[in-house]
Amino acid sequence: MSILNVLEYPDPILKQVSEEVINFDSSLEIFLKDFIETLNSHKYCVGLAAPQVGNLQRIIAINILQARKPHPNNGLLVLINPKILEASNFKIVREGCLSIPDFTANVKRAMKIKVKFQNLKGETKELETTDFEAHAIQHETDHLDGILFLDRITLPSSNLFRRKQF
Amino acid sequence: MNEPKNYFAIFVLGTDSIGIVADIGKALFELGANINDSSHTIIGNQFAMLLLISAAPNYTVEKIQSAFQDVTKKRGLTVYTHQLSHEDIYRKNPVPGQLCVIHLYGADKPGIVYQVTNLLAKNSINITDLSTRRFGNELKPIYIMYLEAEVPNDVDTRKLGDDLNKLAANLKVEIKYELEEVASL
Ligand SMILES: [Zn+2]
Repeated sequence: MSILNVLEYPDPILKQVSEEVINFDSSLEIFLKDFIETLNSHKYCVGLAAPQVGNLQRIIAINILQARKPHPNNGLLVLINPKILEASNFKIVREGCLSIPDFTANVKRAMKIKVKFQNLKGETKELETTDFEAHAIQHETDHLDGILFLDRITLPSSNLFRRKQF
Repeated sequence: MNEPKNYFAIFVLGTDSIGIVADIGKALFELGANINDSSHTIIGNQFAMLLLISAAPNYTVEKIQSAFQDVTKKRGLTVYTHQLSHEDIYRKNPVPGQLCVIHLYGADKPGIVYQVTNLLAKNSINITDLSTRRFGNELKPIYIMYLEAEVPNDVDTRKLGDDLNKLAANLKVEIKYELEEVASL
C-alpha cells in the first residue's frame, strides 16, 4: 500500500472528464487500497476523487468520520460511476480542496441528494444522504467531470449588498 | 520564481466612475508590478480599493506613488502606498476552524457594529469579512450587516449562539447565524 501524490491545479488532468469504470477486477481493488489510504492520510479531509491522484476513472471515496466535528454519515463510502439522480435543499456552504491548497470559497450545494453508484463488486446501489456527506459527494463527483469549486464560486456578501441601480 | 520581492499595500479612494479599475490596472501593469490580492467596493458613491502588490526589490513607495500620478490627476483619487514586511504577506492559518456567517438586520441604532464585533472578539473569533449598509427612510433607517468569521474549534458554539440571540433581543434586531465546518475535500 502507498499514499498517492495529489495533483494540484493548474495540472491539466484536473480539468479532464474521467472514464466510466467497466472492469471490476483486481487492479481496481489494488488502486482502491492506495486511494483510501491516501484519503485517510490527509487530516480532516472527507473526500477524494480518482482524477486528483492522476487516475481518470469515475471513482470517489468519502469519509465523513474524518471531519473535525461529528456529522451524520455512512462511514467510509467508495462510489464507482456515481450519478446524482436528485438534488434539493440548496444552501451556500464553504469548502476547500486538496488540489487547490490554501483557499476556500462559498459554493451552492444541495443538502439532500439521491445518488446511484456501483460498489467494488460492480453491483448497482442507491444512496440517499444529507448535509455534509451530500455536500462532499457533490464536490467529488464534480471532479469526475473536470469541474472544480473554482467553477462554482458564489459571493453572498456581494449579492446581498448589490445596490439597486436608479 | 523565488527572487526577492518588495511588497506594498495600496489604498485607493475616490468618486466612482467608469474605467477607474482599468486605469489602476494599467498604471500597475506599466510599472511592472504584480497584483497579488485585491478587493474593491463602493461605499456611498465612493470607490474604495485595496491592493497587495509585489515588485522587484528596487521598487520604493515613491516609485509606486509616481506611477499613479496620471490616474490620480485624471480622476481625483487619493492613493496611499505602504511597504509591507514579508511576514505581512501570507495569512497564517494554523488550525482551520469553523466558518461563522452572521446576518443582522433591523432598525438602526448606535452600537450595532460595536456590540456584535465585541462579542466575537471576547470569544477569540476572527472576523474575515464584514459589510454593513444603512438604508431606507432617513427618520427610520434600516441597518443590515453581513459578517463572516473564523471560529476556533474549542469555542462553545452553543453558548455563542445563545449570546447572539440575547444580543439580538437587547438590540431589537434580527440576527441569523450559521456555524459550519469548512469542508476539506
Ligand atoms: Zn477537491
